[in-house]
Order: sequence, then C-alpha cells, then structure tokens
Amino acid sequence: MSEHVRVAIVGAGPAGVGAAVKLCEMGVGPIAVIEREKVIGGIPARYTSDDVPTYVMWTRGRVIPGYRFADRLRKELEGTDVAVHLGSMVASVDPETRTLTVVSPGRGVWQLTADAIVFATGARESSRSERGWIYGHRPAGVHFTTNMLDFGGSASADAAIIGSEVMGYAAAAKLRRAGAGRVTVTDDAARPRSWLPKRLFFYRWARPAWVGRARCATVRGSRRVEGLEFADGSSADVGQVAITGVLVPNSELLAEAGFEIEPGMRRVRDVTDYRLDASGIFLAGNVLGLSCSGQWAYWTGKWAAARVAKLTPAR
Amino acid sequence: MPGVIRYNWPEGYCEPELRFTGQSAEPYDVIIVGAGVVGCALAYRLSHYNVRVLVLDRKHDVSEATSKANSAIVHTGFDAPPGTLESKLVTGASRMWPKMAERLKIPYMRTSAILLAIDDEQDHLIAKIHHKALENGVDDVEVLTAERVREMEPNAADTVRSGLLVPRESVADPFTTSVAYAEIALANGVDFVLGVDVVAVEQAGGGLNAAVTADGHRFAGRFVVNAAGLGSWHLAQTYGGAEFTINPRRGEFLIFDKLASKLVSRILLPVPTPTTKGILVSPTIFGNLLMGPTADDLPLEMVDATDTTPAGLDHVRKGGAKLCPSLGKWPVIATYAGLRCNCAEGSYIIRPNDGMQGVMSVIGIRSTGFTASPTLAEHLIERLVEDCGLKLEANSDAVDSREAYPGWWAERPYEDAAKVAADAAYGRMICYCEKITEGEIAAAVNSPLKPRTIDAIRRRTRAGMGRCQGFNCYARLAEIISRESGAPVGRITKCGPGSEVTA
Repeated sequence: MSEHVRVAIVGAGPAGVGAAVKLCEMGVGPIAVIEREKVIGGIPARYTSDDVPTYVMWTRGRVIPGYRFADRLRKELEGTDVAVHLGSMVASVDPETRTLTVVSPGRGVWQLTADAIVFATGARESSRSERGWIYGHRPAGVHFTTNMLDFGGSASADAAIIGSEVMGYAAAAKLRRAGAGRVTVTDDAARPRSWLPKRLFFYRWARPAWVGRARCATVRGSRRVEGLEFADGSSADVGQVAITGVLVPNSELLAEAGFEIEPGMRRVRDVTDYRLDASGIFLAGNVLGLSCSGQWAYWTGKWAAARVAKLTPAR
Repeated sequence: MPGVIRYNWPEGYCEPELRFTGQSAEPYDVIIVGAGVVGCALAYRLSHYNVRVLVLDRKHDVSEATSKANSAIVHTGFDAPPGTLESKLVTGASRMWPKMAERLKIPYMRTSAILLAIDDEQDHLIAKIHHKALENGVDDVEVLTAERVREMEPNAADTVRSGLLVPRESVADPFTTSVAYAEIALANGVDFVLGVDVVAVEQAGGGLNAAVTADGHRFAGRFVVNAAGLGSWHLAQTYGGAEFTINPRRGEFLIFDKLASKLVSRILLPVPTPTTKGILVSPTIFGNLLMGPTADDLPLEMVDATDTTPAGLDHVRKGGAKLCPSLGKWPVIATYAGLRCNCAEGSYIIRPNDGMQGVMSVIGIRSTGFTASPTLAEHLIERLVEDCGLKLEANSDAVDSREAYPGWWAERPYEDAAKVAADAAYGRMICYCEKITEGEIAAAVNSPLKPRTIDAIRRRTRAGMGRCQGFNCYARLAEIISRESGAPVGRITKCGPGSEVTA
C-alpha cells in the first residue's frame, strides 16, 4: 500500500496545522498529515480543563486553555481538504525517496511518499535521568506534569515541581487547583527560568516556594515518593513530584534516518530557514529545538510552509 | 495440569479469582521462598518431575529485586575462581544458554567481550587472566594487540595497550528470563503466591515444615528452599541455619540513548582489581548501551536501598570514560541501582538440612547467578535428592518451551499484517519510543502470570522503557491494565500496594 502526496506533514500539533493551513492557502496540495495521537492539537490538546489556562498567547495578550487552542486548530483544518491520519505513527523515514513508513490501527504498515516532508514532531519534557541532577529512588508519585494531570494529581499532598520554566508555574497552579497542599518549585538555575510577568500570571492560583541552585536533588521513598532532599541538607516533604520543562526535540526519526543530531540538546544540525540540508525535508515548531508556545509554533509552521512552496516544485 | 497463581492484593486491586485469600493446596513437596531468577529456575527445573511445588515472594511480580537490576551479561566464567562451584556452574551454564534461550524464547545475543588493559600494569595482568580463562575451560579466548582492539572497537580509549577477547560473552533479557522460567513452571503445575512476606520457617509436625508469612499464614511442605536472596539471612535465623554474613552490595548504572549505540558493539570490561570487577560498558539486549556498576557495601537492613547517588553515578561516568571516553557526551535516558548479595563466607553456599531437616539454604548467589541459574537449579535438585531425600520421577507431560518471544524482539507485531488485521490493537501504538502497541500491552496483562503492576508490564513489553521514559505512555499503561483487569485506575500500582499511581 503506497500513496503519494505533494507534502506530507508529520504531526498535527500547532506547527503541523500551521503548515497545512498555509500550504492550502497557497494552493499547494494534495497534503497529508500523520498524527500519532487520536486528536488534533498536539501538547495543548492534553490540557482539557478550564481551571487554569495553558499555552497562553502572550503575543496577543490573550489567555486560553490548551484544549480550546486545539479546538481552533481542528476547525481550521476542517475547512480544508487536507487528509489527516489520526492514531497513525511514522515508524521510519527514507530521506532519499522521501518515503514515510506509517503504522495505523486499521491498516497496519503502509507507505506514504511526498515531494516534501515537514517534520512538526514537537518536543517532550526531558526525564529525570536526562536532567543529570536528580538522584535517589524511583517511586510512584514522580511524574511528568501531563501524566499527573491525567491521573488527577494527588489530592491533598504537598508537591514539588522540578523545572522553573513557565510550564513549571502552570503545573504548580494546576496542582493547587486539583487540591495539592504546599507547592515548591526547584531548579538547578539560580533564578527561575521563566520571565517574571509570566510567573506572576499564575500567582492567582499558586505562589510556590522557590529552591534554586539545586545542584542535586535526591528523591526519598522507595514505593511512594516521600520527599526531595537537596545538596545543602535542606529538604521538602512532598507526596508528589512533577517533572516539567527542559524540552527535548522529538528528532529521533531524523536521527534514525541518518541526519546528524547534537548529542546534548538533540537538535537536528544543518537546518537553514526551516530546511534540512538541501533535501526536501523541512522542520517546524519545537522540533527545531525551540521552547516556544503553541501560538509561536503555529507561526513557524506557516513560515516553513512558505519555504516548502517556494523550494519544492510540483512534479 | 497447570498450577495456579495468586496475589496477595487488597480487595479491588485485581480480579477476585486472582486474589490470595488464604486457600492453598497443601502440603507441597517443595516450597521455594524467593521468586528471583534462582527460585524461578529451580521451580522450572522441578516442574519436569512429579513433585508439588509452591513459590512464594514478598513482591507482586517475579524477579523484582536483585534479579531485575544488573548488567544482564551471560558470562562465560572466564574470570571465575577456578575449581569453585561458581566456576563450574557458570561455565556449564554459559554453554547451555544459546539453546535454552531459543527454547524458552528469551532474547539473547552473543556480543563477545573485550577486557581492555589501559596501562602497563594492566597489560601485564592480561597474560595472567588469559591463563585463568584456560584453567576455567574457556579456551576460545584470544589476546589482542592494541591495533586489533582499535580495529574492532574504534571508540575504545586511546590508552589501550592490549586486550583479551572473550568470544562467547553474551547479553540477555533479565526480565524475560525469570518470567519464562515461571511461566513454564506454572504450565507444568507449580503454584505461585506472590505478595506474601515469608518471615519464618518452622517445623509443622508429620515430617513437614511450614513457611510462615508476616500476616500469619502457614504454608506446609516437606522441603523448604530459602532462595530469598538478601532476605535469606533473616529467614535462616528462624530455622537455626548455620552462621553466615551477607549484605547488599549496591551497583548503580547509567543507560544511554539508543542514538549512542553505534559507539560500542562488544562488552568492554576493565581489568579487575583485587577489590572490584570495575565499571564496564556494554550493549544491552534492548539496543542501548549501559555503564556500571558501582560496588557499595551497605548494611543488611538496607534491602530497599535501590536509590542512585551523586557520588555513585559520578564514579560510573569516570570509570566508563576510561574504556570509552566519547560515550559520556551522549544523553542518559535512565539511571538505576540494583542490590546484589555479597556474602563474607564466599559465594554459592548451598546448605541442605540447614538447622532443620528438609530446609535448604541458598546463600551468596552474586551477580553471576543470572548466568548460572539453569545449572544452579540442577545442582539444587541434586542436593535435595541426595542430601534431603526428595524422591523424583519424571513428569512425562511437562512442557519445556514457550510459544513466542516478546514483541519487541524478532518480528514486530505491528509489521505482521495478519495480526493487525485480526486485532486492530496491534496497529495502535502506545509506546512511541520503543514502538510497542496496545495489543502487546493487553496480551502481557493477560499472560500466564497475570501481571498487574505498571513495572511488571514495562519489564515484559518495554513500554515506557525508551528515551521519553513514559512522557507519552505512562497514563495509558495504567488505563490498559485497568481495562483488562477490571480494577479502577486508582487501584493500579507501580509495583504493588502502597505505590498507587494516582493516590
């Protein structure tokens, strides 16, 4: 089973949707979007509560919850004839022939070829081991924020947030709203990594304590987390720990396809103006190694799309 | 007839029929305390005879302690102390492994190993180690020049002076090994009760002994094997076993991202010092590279101290850098620590009728126990027969193989068109990093041992064990276990009661 499209887009998060919409506007097609989740919207779509807004559109001074931003993306796509394959994962890429090997629930493995491929695969938060300063046990109750919210959080327990980017302060707000007790944000930096006005925005829900310069944090508790101990001997007795921020680009498909990746931050090398090398492969959004909001990722999708249209003649 | 497996779960954590509620089909011929790789291997070998066997463990899965956190190397025994029981069992088992792995469907890969001498002093020791290998009957080893080493492992340290190639050193899947032993044992009629903490062994009258649990349940059997690993000392005190001293020896490890795997293709071993075997760099069967372990002796009470430390992981990095300096700059996706059993009186101490008639202590099975498990099981059966008086007759109905490898090994289920057509769940990707489908996860939950914890499912399927460490799939694993077992998500645990993922 093989299909051919003018442009294949990997990922239906903000960047992928931005790229698809822009290409349609420019009359480029046909376009296929491959999305491994069951819904359109990427990371913002994971935040399904009205309680605390996420993925704030700072640039327009407006603030909306993640799922509503995802809804807007979905509606934009609905008005186009872009083929969206949900629940489908790209298992491998052949850059020579620009072939994607895709796994879908109904069809199993199939091939999609394209004149150009846009990787809008986003980023994930780095794990506790990847950060290099978190030690100790690996008990239950230490989660990425996204998992913790999936589970509804630990109702009344005090919480520690590892990571002081704006996601950390958003997580603190969400955990407080879910009923958490005292919240502490900690990071290995001297000052919180997020800009003060962004932090202040979340102060209406939570004013977390701050432990900076935490060169080493040790998780206590062998079955369920009991606390965090810091290098200076201080500690926080908490019943839940959220790991947030420090985004790692989802660049592994490109790495496996033979493109060079920076070992540390895992950015794809040789990307100029959204184009990888001189190939028909383009990158958009947080896979570029940015750490940007959904709105910004959406725009990079549009800019990448403009480059695709210019550099990829129709066959 | 297949055996039964029961778990000591609180009410509502699993299906009622899977819960241990105090019933068991006693008396047994042999009760094995400890479902680590030794206990499971013994149960597997015993299941080929017509004896009634029960396996007990305090954890809610098999191989949840020493057997799960190690370097997973199948040793040739080239550097074992010659003439010891350990040397005999390890070298014997090493030759059994390739065929056994195929039969039991245990992922196994012959990688070979190179012992690297990185200074003059170590260079002189290579000849001595070569001699020792020959003494142990490992006669396929080969001394390598520095040039040869660099040809074979271009990323090995520049300081390499010489090396010793050990062609049959291999790696295997430590989790599947115990699971495979236990599944075959179960199929052949061995019973399991997991989640029960055996705190004493007592005489029960009528030639029987009883394993007594923390909540007062007594399991009666003629023979009791203490294969409780780091728990063996406390247990031995209750039946008056002869003196011995053990303690946990902690080993910390780093697992590197698969992107770095091309750097090293063989196990790189340092030249051992009198006190330690040192930090090695090794491919894992899962396709990552591993660095470790440390060797920190802890007091006996610290049997749950599987925490990593800044000093320990720093030591691992420095040690590993001596063998492969370029590995250090690649991302580490996981860190872990395991506790091995260090015994002051030596290793592989087997004491039949220890303190009480019919009670056998198995003490000081150190890291080589993973390799030696098949021959050690044979040896334990010999001791039970010759010294304790166990009578054996062959079980002609016994099976000695498993159907299939785990999905991540060999052909991937999502690539099997017939499988996806029959069940769409094999086309639904849950773990994106390791490419594990919903079908595989559901099948693991419904597999013979009925694992119900997230850790148990991770060990069987690899879901959540990849580079994102569960960022994408952790909650979905809990949902699938909940759906398949009928327990609410709030009762799904990471590794047993008290580790609820939601709490």
